[in-house]
Amino acid sequence: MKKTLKYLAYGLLLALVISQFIPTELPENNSDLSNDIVVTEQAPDEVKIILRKACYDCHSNQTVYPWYSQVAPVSWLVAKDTREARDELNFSDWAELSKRKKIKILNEMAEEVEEKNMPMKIYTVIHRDAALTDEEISTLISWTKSRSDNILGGD
Amino acid sequence: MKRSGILFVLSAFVLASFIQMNISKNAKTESESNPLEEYKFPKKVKAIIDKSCYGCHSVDGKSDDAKDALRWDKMHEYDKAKLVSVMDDIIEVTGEKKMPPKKFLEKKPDWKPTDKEYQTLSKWADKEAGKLLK
Ligand code: HEC
Repeated sequence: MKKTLKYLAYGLLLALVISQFIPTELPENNSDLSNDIVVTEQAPDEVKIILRKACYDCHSNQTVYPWYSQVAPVSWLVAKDTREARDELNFSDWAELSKRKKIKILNEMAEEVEEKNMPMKIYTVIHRDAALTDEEISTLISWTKSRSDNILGGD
Repeated sequence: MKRSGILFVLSAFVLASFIQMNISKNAKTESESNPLEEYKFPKKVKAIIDKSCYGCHSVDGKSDDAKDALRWDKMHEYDKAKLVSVMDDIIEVTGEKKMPPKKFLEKKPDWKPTDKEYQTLSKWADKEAGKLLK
């Protein structure tokens, strides 16, 4: 019994070592901020802070990759989630979007934070300050609504 | 005394069933009036929605996901921002022919819009969004 456990542990260790050699590509960052939402929108500072701390690791080209995110198998998960998140919505491309898309995204942002679907639980467990307080949630929602109204009003 | 007691119970019964009847009658008229009328849809568009979409995206729908995504019968209650975003969703799903879901169409192929119908829906949604953004 003891022996099997030992072999199992060695096996796992070996798998972990081998898995480091499987290539994973974490999505690349890009320092171009010319279309970035935080740079191009005149949002209140609180809103910009919320976006940066709670959304940007996945929904922008400015992901901060901590050391453990570069170690398999965590890196596989991070690579996949980040790629999918950027495909769905990338705040670094904000200014290029049509008015229609902007309104839709603002609407979805409000819905996602209201229902506490975003930021994802698996992320906030580790990044504690990304877990939004109720106050931060309502700050973000009221900004999305007023921005959306602005766009509808022709701005 | 005993008699009037029975009479009382009886009349309460009659009254109650009367109210009951009225309620169900009201409920019926409510579901009979087609809510699609409340938002102005061109005839051509309405026919496509009725054929291909309404069953899932209305009170009658069984999937909550579908109803959360879009309610044709609640369209008139959406605010402008919500309407614009719904129109954008419709343009997306008709462009990619993602709706009705593939699996569902295998069972009910007659719900499938023709290419032309997909285009009609898409163009209509584009126009609606354009009007709101004017
Ligand atoms: C068999 C039921 C069914 C029918 C019929 C159907 N839908 Fe859907 N629809 C769904 C479901 C379920 C979802 C939610 C899918 C999800 O959350 O991924 C959905 C989601 C949507 C969405 C939101 C998509 C998104 O990406 O958020 C739109 C827009 C939509 N449907 C439009 C339509 C249109 C237009 C038609 C008719 C041409 C239609 N649907 C017919 C079941 C249906």
